[in-house]
Amino acid sequence: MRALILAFVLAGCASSARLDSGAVMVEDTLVVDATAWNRFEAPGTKGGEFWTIDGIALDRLRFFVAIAEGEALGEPLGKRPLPAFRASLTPHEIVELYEAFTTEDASAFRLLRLSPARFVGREAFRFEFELTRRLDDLELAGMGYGAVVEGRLYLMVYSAPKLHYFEKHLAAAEWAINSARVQELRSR
Amino acid sequence: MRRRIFLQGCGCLALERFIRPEASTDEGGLWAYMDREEERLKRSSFLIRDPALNAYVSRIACRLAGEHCADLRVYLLRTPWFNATMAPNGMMQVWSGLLLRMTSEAQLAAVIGHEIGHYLARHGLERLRDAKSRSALSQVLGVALNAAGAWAVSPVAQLGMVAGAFAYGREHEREADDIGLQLMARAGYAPREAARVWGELLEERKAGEADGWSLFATHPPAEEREHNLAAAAAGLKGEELGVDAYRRALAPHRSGFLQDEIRRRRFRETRVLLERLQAAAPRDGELRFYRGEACRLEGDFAAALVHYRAAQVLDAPPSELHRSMALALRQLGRGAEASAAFRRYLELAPAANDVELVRTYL
Repeated sequence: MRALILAFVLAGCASSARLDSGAVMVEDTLVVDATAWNRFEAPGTKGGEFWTIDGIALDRLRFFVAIAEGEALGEPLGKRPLPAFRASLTPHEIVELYEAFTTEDASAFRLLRLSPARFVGREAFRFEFELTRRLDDLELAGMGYGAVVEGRLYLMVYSAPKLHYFEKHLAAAEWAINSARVQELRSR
Repeated sequence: MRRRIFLQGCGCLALERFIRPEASTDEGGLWAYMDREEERLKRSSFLIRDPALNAYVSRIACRLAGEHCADLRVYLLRTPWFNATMAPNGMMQVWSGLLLRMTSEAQLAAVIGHEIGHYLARHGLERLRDAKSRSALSQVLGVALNAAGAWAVSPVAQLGMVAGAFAYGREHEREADDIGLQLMARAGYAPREAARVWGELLEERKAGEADGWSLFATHPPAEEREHNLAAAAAGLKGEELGVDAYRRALAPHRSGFLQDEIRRRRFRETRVLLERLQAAAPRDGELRFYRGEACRLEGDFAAALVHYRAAQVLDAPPSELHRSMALALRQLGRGAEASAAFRRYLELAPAANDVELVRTYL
């Protein structure tokens, strides 16, 4: 499905809906201030919500919400399964999960920094990275925050072309991330 | 009918350089297409631009190609699979996965010689002239270069598609093997190294899964190639291996290539590869560390620990060794030892990009 999303985007048939400014709910669990962002919708996507300002082929703010023990970050591209989240993972190992997810298509990932930070109102972690996307040779810069809350993983990752776009929307990304809070989970 | 022009040692290897064909011919069209591809390649973010490594590989190609040297351009790509391709316009690609797997200059020469063999015998053009091939070729090229989605469906298949556009049948492969051996011998390299390349690749493939090996679908089976190459080499002279020269040339890049290899997440194949490389360099601490990573990332923390502990007393293991050891110990519930290992990491790498976070683990 991830492949199709990108294919749709590059073919120009994605629909992008402007969010009402103010708080929105992502996947029933994460409350985030959506000022300035547009929500990307692709038919039949399972999880993995995207927000964007200049368009999904450029900047993306991506959500991974309430990932449970034993669950991967998304659908694998091929037959091989992606590594699964476990609540016992350190931030280092969670970033390794993200790296595996984002390099499944042979893109090249470089972790630049990994540090403690506050996210969803608690002690968590922040990481900075670069990604050279295999699909179109694009050099991306990225920044993400992650936290484990009641045994579930929450990640918000912002990425955009290193040249110009990353800096352009970084403040908006930090704003949205800083506003994020976890609501109580409904029964699953 | 099998062509034998190169096998008779008739001096046909001193063929004149090819003249660029008329643009209106089918060959001319193919050249123009490949020229455009080459322009794209030159701008690729995955191109390895290091002048020293490029000079080293180009020198080998030049040595093998003789008077055709001036018509060849070698491009090194940061792609962690075993592959090398040669386009009819003289553009050669060598992937970093292949560079990582070679253990001597002679082995690299075997692969490059094979590719030059395709070029000298004009196999690309022969394929193009076969009408059935031509339509398949243009289809494949069209799909390969325009389909954004194909990458995600099967990364390795996509990586192989452009290579596959110049994938040749068995006869062409055999012929390229033969020419490659002759070029090696003429340049003074030990031709027996060619068979070793295939033998070693076979070992790796046996360990792994089928899906990564579509690149070899049109070649004769690896066993057959290994056997034929070994037999043919027996009759040829040439002794140079260049083990040390190769190791020196690869050294500045090897860590990066090892990381790329691990990230393929084909852990069984990686372990076979790393064991083979370690057999030639038993004291290499970095290789032992990555053998540990190939276990830890698959969830086998006990096996990982064995490698990390061994790497500690070998030469120059990276400082990440202690961090990885700590992560493995922690997963095994050995918290106090994990903290000690994290501390050791902080001692060895006080300016690392994650020290603040590691301190919170203590």
